[in-house]
Amino acid sequence: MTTADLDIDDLVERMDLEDEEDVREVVGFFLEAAAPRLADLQSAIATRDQANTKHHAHAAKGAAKSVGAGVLADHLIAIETALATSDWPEIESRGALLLSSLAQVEETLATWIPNFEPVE
Amino acid sequence: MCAVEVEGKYFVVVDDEDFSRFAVERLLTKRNAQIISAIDGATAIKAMIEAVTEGKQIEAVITDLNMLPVNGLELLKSIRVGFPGIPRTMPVIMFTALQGFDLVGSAMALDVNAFIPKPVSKKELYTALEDAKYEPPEFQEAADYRRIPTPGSDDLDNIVRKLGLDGAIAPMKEEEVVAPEMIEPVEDGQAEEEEIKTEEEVGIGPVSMGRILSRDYTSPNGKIILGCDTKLSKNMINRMKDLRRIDPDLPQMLWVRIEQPAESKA
Repeated sequence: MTTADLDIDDLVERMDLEDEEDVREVVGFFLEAAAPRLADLQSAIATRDQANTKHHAHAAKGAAKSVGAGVLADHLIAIETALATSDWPEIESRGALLLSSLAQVEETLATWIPNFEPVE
Repeated sequence: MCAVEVEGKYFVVVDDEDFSRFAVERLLTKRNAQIISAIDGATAIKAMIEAVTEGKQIEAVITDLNMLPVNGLELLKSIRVGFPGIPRTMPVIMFTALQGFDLVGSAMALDVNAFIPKPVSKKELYTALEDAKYEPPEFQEAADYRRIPTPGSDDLDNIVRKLGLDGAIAPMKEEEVVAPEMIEPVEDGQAEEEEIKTEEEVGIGPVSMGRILSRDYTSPNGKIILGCDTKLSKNMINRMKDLRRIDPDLPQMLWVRIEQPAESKA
């Protein structure tokens, strides 16, 4: 786990967060919204659906960058770039790493806030 | 520290990505602003008309650029052309990312009030709100905005139809469509002859409004941001400064025509 997985200090500064509860709320919202989006993206990749892969990768990238999940954002940028040349092996390879990157975000947050539980 | 008071005021936040929209809304609601959320330009226009009908006064629109079916450009154009009850001078702040630079020329022609980068930050958002409040553009006539094309979006006439507002806005004639880089073209012939020998390179900081680009202003990857022959407004110059903050690799110098008396005082 590094700040590349989730840069909490940057998030606190950018989003004007004041305490652990604020961080929990914001990252919790991200985790809640990102999981189904990444699942949709992986489904699109599995069927080599170019339009939906592009749509979900772009949307997920925006969210990942907004929350400061650098590693996850890098995978999504790589997917978008590889789409331009229809490099599906690269897209599939990056796609396989998405959920573990998301898990690292959660783990980083859990380390930062003991007993963290995503917002219901 | 913030010069813009947002408490109790209504802001329209438009983004098809839930977390990005949430992030902006949170920065505003933290200071007790009121939010009208929308997921694209069409839903934003509808929500704004409803809000205005209910007597709510909207302070500003903060919108993403790339959305379907109606993107941020068409939303901006709809506002500048004039929907019933929505002031044409409504401040519009637009998110942009490096890959969106091919659309920002149209946004500048439509007098967007500010560009801000994603991911959003408190500082950038409130600076943009401040700029929008204290440095408004010199707005053009509705017909001038009507001519600006908005690539990648459902168009204004379709939006009007879908919202059941037929007749509220005059339909656009086909011949009125011009490319953004061709706004305010100079007379051909004489100007073309002088173009090569009467241009100079000027920085974005010191360039004055009214100057006319003698070459395209492009991003490092070759996308045209403002085309040759564009007459620079104060707002365009300020927006180019925004873009250079977002991407410092953008050129800081412009090629402009040497001022000619008849054109430079516009």
